[in-house]
Amino acid sequence: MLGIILRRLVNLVIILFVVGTLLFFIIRAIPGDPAVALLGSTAKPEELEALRRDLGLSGPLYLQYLGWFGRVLHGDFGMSIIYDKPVLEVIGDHIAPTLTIAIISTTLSFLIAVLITVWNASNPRNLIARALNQLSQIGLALPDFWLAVLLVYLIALNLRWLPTSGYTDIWVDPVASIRTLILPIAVLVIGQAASYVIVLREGMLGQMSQLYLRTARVKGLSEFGVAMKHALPNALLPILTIVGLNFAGLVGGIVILENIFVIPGLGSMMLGAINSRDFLLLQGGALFVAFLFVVVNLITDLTYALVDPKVRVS
Amino acid sequence: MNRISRRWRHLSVTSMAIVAAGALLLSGCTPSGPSDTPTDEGTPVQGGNLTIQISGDPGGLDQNASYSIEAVNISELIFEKLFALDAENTPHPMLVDSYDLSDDRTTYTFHLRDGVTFSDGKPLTSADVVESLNYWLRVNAQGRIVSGDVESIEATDDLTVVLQLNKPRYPLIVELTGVGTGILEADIAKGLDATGFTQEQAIGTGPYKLDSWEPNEQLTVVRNDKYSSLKDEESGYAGAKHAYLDSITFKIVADPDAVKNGLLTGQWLYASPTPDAYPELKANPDLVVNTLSGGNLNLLVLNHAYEGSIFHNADARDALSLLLDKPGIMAATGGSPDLTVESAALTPEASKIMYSTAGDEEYAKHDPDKAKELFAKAGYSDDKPIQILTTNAFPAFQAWATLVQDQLSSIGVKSEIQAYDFVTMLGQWQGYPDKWDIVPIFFNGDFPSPGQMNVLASAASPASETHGEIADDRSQDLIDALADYNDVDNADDAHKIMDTITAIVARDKPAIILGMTRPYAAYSPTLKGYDNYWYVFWNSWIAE
Repeated sequence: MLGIILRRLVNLVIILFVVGTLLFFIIRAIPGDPAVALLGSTAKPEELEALRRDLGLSGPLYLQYLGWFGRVLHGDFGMSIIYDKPVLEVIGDHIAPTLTIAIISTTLSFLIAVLITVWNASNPRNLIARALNQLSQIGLALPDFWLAVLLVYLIALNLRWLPTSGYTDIWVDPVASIRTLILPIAVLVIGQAASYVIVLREGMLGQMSQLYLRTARVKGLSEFGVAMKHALPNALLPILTIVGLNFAGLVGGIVILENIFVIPGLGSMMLGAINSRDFLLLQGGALFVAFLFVVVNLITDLTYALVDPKVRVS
Repeated sequence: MNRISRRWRHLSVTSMAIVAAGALLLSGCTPSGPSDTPTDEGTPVQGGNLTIQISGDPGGLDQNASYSIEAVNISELIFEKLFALDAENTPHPMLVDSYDLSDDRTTYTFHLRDGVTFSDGKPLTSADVVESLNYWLRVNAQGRIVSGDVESIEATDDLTVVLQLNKPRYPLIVELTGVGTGILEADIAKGLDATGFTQEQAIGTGPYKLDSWEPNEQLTVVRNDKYSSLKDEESGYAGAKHAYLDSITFKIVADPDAVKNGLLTGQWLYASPTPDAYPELKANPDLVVNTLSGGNLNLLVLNHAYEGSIFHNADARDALSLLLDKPGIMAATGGSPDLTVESAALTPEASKIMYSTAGDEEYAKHDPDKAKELFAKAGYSDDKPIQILTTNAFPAFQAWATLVQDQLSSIGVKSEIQAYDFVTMLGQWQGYPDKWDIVPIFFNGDFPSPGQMNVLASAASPASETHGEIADDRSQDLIDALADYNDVDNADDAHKIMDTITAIVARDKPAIILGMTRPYAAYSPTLKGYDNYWYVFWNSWIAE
C-alpha cells in the first residue's frame, strides 16, 4: 500500500509539472491583454506598457515562464490582479463553498444510490423500486441548469421556503448556510444519484445472480442483507471511479450552478479570472484543480484496494 | 468678478441678480432627470442596512481608474467633488463654499468650505484639491482633454485654490462635476498612476465610507460619522446628505433570473434588471419601477479612419445609415418603449444645453434601394464581407450585430460577425483596424461637455493611439465647433453650437446613432427618499 502511495506521489509531481507548463502557455495564448482589461479602453500606450511591466507580463515568454515556475517552486503563486491578494489566499477563500457543495452532494448521491439499488436488487418486483429505476433515467436526462431554474421557481419563488440564491459560510451561520445550500445540492444530487443508480444497478443485478450468494441465502440472510453485505462490495468497484471523477468535476466546474445560485465558489473565481485576464489566478486555479483531480484519483485507487483485496495483492 | 455661493438656493432677491450670471454660465451639459419623483414619504428612519443588487464588480472605487457604472456610482457615496449636479442639472457647490471668476474668464478662485474632514479625520485643505485635480488632469481620459487648457492649479492658502486657464473654457465648472474629479487626500493623490488607488486608500469626504469588499461577491459601505453635510435642500447629486442608512451592501449578482428572483423574494430591496424584465416588473404592484437619471447612447462605430475599411468612404456610411431601420432595432432590443428614445441626440433630453435633435432628420431617413446603390458606388465587393466586431459580454451588442447583419443581407451585402469576450474585443478594436468595420456599442450619454463625449472621441479615431482623447482625424468642422463651444459664455450660444455638433455627426457619420436607452431600477416600496438618481441613497431610508 505504501508503495502505491509513493509511486502515485511521484506521478503527481510529474503530472503537475506537465499540466502547469501546458497551462502557462495555453493561458498566455488566449487573446486579450490584462493591461487593457485593467485600465480600460482609454489608457495611453505607455500606461499599458508600464502596467504590463508591473504585472510581469513584458519580456520574452520563456523568461516569464521560468520566473513563474521558480516562484511556484517556492510556494509563491503570485498576486491576483482582481483580488489584490496572493493567489493561494484567493483560492482558499473560494474553495469552501465549492468543497462544501461537492462533498455533501457526492456523499448524499452515493448513499441514496446505494440504498435505492440495494432495495431494488432485493425487491426486484416491487412497484416502487421499479418506479425509482425509471425515475433515475429521468433524473439523468434533466439538465442541471433547467432543474435549478425549476426548483427556484417552485420552492423559492412560489412556496418561499428557501432563498432563491446566496451563500453563507456554514461556520458563521449554520442554519442560513443550510437554507442556501439545499437547492444547489438538490440539483446536483438528483443528477448524480440517478447516474450512480444506473451504473450500480447493472453491477448489483449481475452479482445477485452469482452462485456465491447461495450460501448466504442458505444461512437465512434476507435478500436485503445478501444484497447489502455480499453483493454490494463487489458491485461498487465500477462506480468508485465515476464518483471520484464526478467529485473532481464538481470542484472544477459548477460554474453555471454557481452563477444561478450566486455562490462565490471556484468556478465563479475562474470565470472572473478569465474575463479579467488575471493570468496568475487563472494559472494557480487551474493548477489547483489539476492537483485535486490527481489527488481524487489517488484516493479512488486506494479505495479500490480497500474494497477489493485482489487489487491489493496485484 | 462674479461670485457664486453654495447657498444660492437661499440667497436674497438682491443676490439673485449676481447668481443669475453664474447660473447662465453654469447651466447645461448634464445628466437627465428621473422619470418620477417621490412625494411625501413620511418621516425618515435612521438605521438599517440596504441591500442593492449590482450586475458586476466595480473593479475599483477610483473613478480615474475604473470606469464601470458600478465604480462610478458607488464611489459617489464615498467621495465628494467641488461641485455636484442638482435636480435642475446645474452645478451646485459642494466642497466649495464660493468661487470667483476673473473678467477674462481664465482665473477661477475656489474658496473651500471650512470644517470638512475626510473619513479618517484629516481636514480637507487646498493641497488635497490641487493634488486631486492634478491627478484627474494627468490620468483621466476626460481630464486629459481639459488639461490642454489648464495653465496651473495652485493653493494660495489652506482653503483657497486658484485654477489658471490659458484660454476661457465655458464648461469648466460642469466638467468639475464629472467622472474622476472626486477629492482625495493629497498624500494619496500625489503618487497615483492609471491603476488608481487601493482599497485602503479609498478615503473621501462623502457621507459613507468603505467597510468591506470581497471582489465579485459584495461591497459594503457604512455611514461616515465625520461627514459634514450642507444645510441646503437635497437635490439630485447635490445639497444636504443625511446618511439615514447605517450601511449599504452592494451584492454582485449577474444572472438575470437570480436578479429578478432575489428582488421578488426580498433578498435585495433594489435591483437593476435587464430591459426585457421591465414589462413584467412594471406590472408588479409590489414593486416600484422607475427610469433612472442619464441614458446610454447606442451606436455603431464605423471604421472611417482606416483606409482599408469600406466605411472610409462616405457613400458607404450613408448607405448603412439609409439601410438600417434604427427605430426597429431599438424596439427589438430595448425592452419597452418606456426605455428607448428614437433620436440622433447625443445626450439625454434633460441635458438642456447639450440635447439636440438637429440630427433627427438624417436619423429618420430609410431607403434600402438607395443604400444598395450607394454600397455599389462605394466599391463594395462580395470578396470582402463587412466585419462586425462584437462581444458576448453584452447581449445587446450581439443583438444589434445580428440585426445589422440581417438587414445588410436583405440587400445582398455580405457580413461576418466576430464575437469575442469583452477584453479580446477591446484589444481587436484598439489594436487591429484591419479586423473590423463596425463595432456596435453603447456609451454613457452623460458627459459634462461635448469635447469629453466618447462618441466624438472614439468615433473619430477608435483604433488609433489617441483613442479616448481628442483625435486629430475628425472633420475640421467638428474640431472648430468643439473649440467654439469652449469659447462661448452663455447657455444659448452653447446650445446653438451643440445643434451644429449634432448635425455634423449625423452628416459625417463617424458612428451611426441607433438611439438612446434609459436605465431603470426596480425596488421595494419600503425604500423611501429615493429620487431615481442611480446610487444616490444618502437621503434614503427603509420604512419600518
